[in-house]
Amino acid sequence: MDVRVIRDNLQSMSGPLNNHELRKLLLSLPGKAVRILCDQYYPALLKIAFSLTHDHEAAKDIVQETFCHIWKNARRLGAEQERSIQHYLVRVVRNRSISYYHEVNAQSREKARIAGTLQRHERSPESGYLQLEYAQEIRDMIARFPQRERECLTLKLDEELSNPEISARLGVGIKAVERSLTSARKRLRNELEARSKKKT
Amino acid sequence: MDRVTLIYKVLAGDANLPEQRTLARWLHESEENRREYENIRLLWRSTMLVEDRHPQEGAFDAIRHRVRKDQRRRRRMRAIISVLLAMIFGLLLVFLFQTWFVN
Repeated sequence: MDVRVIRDNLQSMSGPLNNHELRKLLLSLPGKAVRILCDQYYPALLKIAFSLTHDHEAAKDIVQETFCHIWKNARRLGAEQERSIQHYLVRVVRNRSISYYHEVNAQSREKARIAGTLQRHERSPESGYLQLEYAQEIRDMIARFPQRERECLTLKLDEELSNPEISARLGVGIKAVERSLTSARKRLRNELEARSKKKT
Repeated sequence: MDRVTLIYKVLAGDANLPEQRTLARWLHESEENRREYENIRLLWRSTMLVEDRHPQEGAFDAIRHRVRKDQRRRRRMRAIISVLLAMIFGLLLVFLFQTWFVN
């Protein structure tokens, strides 16, 4: 029988589907029953899911999964029950949407936590230097460094020169520049750590 | 009358007094009834808010595709389990044959 004819038989005027008949159809022709339910309630359920998830794709996925669930459990749901199928549909969509919302929230909290941890770990002396926007305090720290280290670090950070460029500017070997920068970074890191310990 | 039809009728303002009383009585019976009413009211309101109420062809096709995919996966799993059980049974027979008849 055509789906439209069955649907018209199940429907009173333009109202909801008759539950008793719908359950019988779920037992005999689950695919057709799901199609009728889908035609009738898919857009409304999508609206409910979207209002809770604020994500179109997730809402679509939740509603489709709910109908799949109805199809796969047609035998159980087809048995006469006190609660209506419409109530069951809304309940499943609501519960899944709320679970999705909590899951996404938990994931974003975890991501923020990891990002925060990474940021703390990845903070090099240079980035710390830049973040404080050349604070006078750090400038004073660098001013107390040995001359070669001070020059190399200032050229690296202020003028963003590469090691060969610093080497050419100062007239020293690249190896010497690398050594000076490594030493300066270490010194700056130690100074910054000592400073943060002092503050805490 | 089907309960959902009755709720829809009351929500649409088309129910007469006895029908309204029937629904009110049912709502007073239990908390679960009130929860069901809330869910159906939400469905009714969402249906009213939807602009395009035409059947969604693509949506049903996607659902059917998902169900068939799941059915294929279950069939494959059943086949694998059957083969494994047959192999275990075969090995057991060989073992028993060797134990009883060869020795």
